[in-house]
Amino acid sequence: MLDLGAFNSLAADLREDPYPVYAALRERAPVFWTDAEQAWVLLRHREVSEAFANSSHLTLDLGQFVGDVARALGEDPVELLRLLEMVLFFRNPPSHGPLRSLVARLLAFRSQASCAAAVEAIAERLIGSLARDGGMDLMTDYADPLPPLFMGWLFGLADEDALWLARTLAGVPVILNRGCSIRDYRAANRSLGTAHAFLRQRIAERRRTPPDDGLSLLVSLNDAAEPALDDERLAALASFVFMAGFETTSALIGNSLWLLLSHPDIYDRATGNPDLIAGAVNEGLRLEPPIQQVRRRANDDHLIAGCRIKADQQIILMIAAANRDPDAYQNPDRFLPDRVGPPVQSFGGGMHNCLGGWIARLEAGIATAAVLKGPRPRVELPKPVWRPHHNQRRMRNLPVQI
Amino acid sequence: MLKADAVRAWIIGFLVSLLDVSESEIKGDTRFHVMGLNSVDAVVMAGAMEEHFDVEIEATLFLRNSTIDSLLADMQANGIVE
Repeated sequence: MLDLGAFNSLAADLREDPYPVYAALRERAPVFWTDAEQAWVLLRHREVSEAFANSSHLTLDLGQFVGDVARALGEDPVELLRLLEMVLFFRNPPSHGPLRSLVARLLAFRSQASCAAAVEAIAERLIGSLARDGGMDLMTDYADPLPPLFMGWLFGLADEDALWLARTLAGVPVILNRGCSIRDYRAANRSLGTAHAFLRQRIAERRRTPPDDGLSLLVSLNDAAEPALDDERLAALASFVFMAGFETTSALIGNSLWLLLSHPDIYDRATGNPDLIAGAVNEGLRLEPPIQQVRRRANDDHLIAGCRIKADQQIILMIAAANRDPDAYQNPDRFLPDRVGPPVQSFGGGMHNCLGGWIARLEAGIATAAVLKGPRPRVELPKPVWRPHHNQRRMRNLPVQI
Repeated sequence: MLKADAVRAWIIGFLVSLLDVSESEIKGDTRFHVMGLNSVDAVVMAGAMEEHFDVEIEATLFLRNSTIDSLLADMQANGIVE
């Protein structure tokens, strides 16, 4: 018998396959309070999507949390706190709106067609080594470098600088997981110090002679804004956008490819079929959402599915469970790229709806199509090896051979 | 590997110094949140424990276990405690 009050999504035995536990819990109590996490847990598609859309649910401020930890230790992780101040999804109104608008304009800088052409060129270049060498790691040599190369293109960075920035920032998103250690915060602060210094230099260059690139646009938009961010914060905003643009998208590319490769019949049907490829990416998002859950804080007392939520209580929106709700999707655990169903919850919703969701889908679709153009590779892995974090569904490796 | 008794004693000592509780109020099955331990405290406590015992200890251990007994069992399962 499952003890609802003791349910803890950080439990180590949930890392490999949390979905059967969520299914059993959803059947028993789709909304319940857990003492262990001191939060309400929402498991159904309906309540999760409504909670995303509910503007009285505030996002949690990780910056405040890290600030509290730092004060308790007498430390001042200035670069990390600057970054967290710029992370859109930890900001509530009124500071949320102006930042979001700045990022939205940056992401809309190039047309969708030119973004697609850039992704295609990157994907073709990276996948070349599969035919040349007869095998490759589709995570480390494909899904991992593709999104940072695209973000580098959008920003106007040289390829080697984009890859260097991605390597420098690689460990930082670990801090988004509950229960990371002071060690992780300190390491993130050091990495951000290096990355922000690099970005401040690039920003200063753009102020002198602005080339036609996304970073120049960001600088000019910010300089025209009232009040404008200082260069420390502008560099932190740029590093947030860069990170948001690669960690989860790499995960999505890997997860979609894994699902396709482990369903050879669908893989063969999807070759040259853009609709089925888009469906496969959507199923990748649904079945293995790169972000498994988000937390909100209730701003007032209200009811969710008959449960009384009190002001200030926390709510876990379990994306990974909502996406497999049998009331929303028939045969919810099956990979069915031609299914029709309600929107997946993987990009959130409401005011924090992921701004780069369309870019992530575009990259994953093109990355998948580029693999599908060649002969179907064999996966050299019996099952995925997930990174050990409760809130990042991302594989370490995906070795394949042809 | 660390001795379970030493780790238990250190945890109790830390909780007594951090929270407004006396040693006699802290049992192996008392829930951390009932004692008033919050998630900031959990991260700070994991960091202090790392420094004291000179081993790597994930703060998630303190968040995924709600009592000292389950925490110690988890640390044993992870090869941190004998």
